Amino acid sequence: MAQSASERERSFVALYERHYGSVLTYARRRTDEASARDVAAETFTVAWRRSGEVTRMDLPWLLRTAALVLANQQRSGRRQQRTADRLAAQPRQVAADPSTDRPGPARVARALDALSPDDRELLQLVAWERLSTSGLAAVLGCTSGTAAVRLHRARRRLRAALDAADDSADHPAPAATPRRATS
Amino acid sequence: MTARTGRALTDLVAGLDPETGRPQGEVDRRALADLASILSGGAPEPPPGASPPPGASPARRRRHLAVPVAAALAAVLLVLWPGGGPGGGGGTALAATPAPLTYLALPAGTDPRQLLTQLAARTATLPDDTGTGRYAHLVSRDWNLSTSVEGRRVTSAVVPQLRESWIAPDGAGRVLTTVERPGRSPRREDERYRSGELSGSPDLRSLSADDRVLAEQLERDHPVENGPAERLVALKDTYRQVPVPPAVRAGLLRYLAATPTLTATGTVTDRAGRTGVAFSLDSDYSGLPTRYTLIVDPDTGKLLASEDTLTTRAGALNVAIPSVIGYTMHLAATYTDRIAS
Repeated sequence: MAQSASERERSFVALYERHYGSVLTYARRRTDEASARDVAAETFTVAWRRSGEVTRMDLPWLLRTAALVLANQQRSGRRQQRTADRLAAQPRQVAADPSTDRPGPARVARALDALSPDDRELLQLVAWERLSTSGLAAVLGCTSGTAAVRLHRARRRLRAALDAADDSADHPAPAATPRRATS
Repeated sequence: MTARTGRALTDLVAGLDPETGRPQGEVDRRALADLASILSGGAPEPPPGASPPPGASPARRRRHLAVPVAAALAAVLLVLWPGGGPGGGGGTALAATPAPLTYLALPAGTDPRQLLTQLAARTATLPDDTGTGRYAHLVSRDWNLSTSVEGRRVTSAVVPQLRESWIAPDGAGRVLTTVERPGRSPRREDERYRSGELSGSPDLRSLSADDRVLAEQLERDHPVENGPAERLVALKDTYRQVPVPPAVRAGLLRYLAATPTLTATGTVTDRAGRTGVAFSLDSDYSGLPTRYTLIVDPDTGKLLASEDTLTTRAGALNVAIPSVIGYTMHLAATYTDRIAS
């Protein structure tokens, strides 16, 4: 049932206070600071316009919207270049821990780079945004069952990619690959 | 081959998180400025060349900031800019608000409960006039106090909006909104929604005419513990979302009749020129003492309009007391199979 105007506004401010940080952090992971701020503002603008009409507006819904906003934004070549520049400038940890069989970050990065953008985004949503399967489903716009299957398959492909990389040296991944971009 | 659990794989990917070690984003000054901008309709423009996401529109709708949020935002801004809070700085003129309606008193001793019960009895005998079809077609006109926060100042204006919607039970539909902006040309938005994107209100389409069942249905989303004003909100929300057949209308009138401290305000001509009977409740439920008024058509039992009026103080808002701060007119509500082209 819809809320009254004042309730809707109160709910929206509460939503903003609760999730602004998470949406901003989500965007920061995928673009530069200025663009991330724009993505957060645009995401909540959409949320505000649709508050009271969307049946369930929560963090997964916001992240889904942010992903769409980000995808639109990254059609702008200038911003995409800024993203690539930022990522290229970022130092990467490259050393594996010799005391375990845990692969080093560079190997994990290479394995992720070998996956499809969809698989990569899905795995990052779970690992970086700490989404549950139901949250993941809401972001992806599918059922929980479908999300679970897609996650299972993405993990299987990541395992295979990691195993394929096990025998190679753990050297730095190509730093200019904007693997955190959504597009 | 190395066996790795899903958890272990997640940990590996988490190790690549570029935000590791950096504080989580927070609602800082920039975020508050964005919030104020969003609520006042002046949202940031999209990046060049961007197309809007589904459900978004290139144009930004000027929306309404009602009293509690305005007050909350004012409080936040006061914290951020002590010594010069919203409305401060002097010189901010009182905002224009709609003239209050003129209520003609009912005969002394009129009991609102009895009057509503009589209206309900008459309404229950009426033939269904809501039609049939997949879409709930609703037309309403709203006024709400719109508050924009610009630096240290809150300015307010009355912003009328005409809303026409066609919404299917599955949440698909179309919403046409025309926003009349002071000193500027009206802004028209036309948004189409896919299944599941709107609240199709299937539960409201099957409201019961039985008082006990109806109360349970309404109170699912409008908890009794919120106080008597919540009963009026339940009626307003229902009429905002679905056409209401006479039998349910009668039930809603009986539900309203059971509202503690409700008064019969008088007969009134609403802003669309329709004659109705007004019932009011005073409450500080939404943050500031407010009179909530519902105007009912004595012939059809329909909710014609609702009106919210600040009665004793305006908080951080620059409006006179008393001031009408919100108004909704329900202009049409029927079911149809066709969305207008």
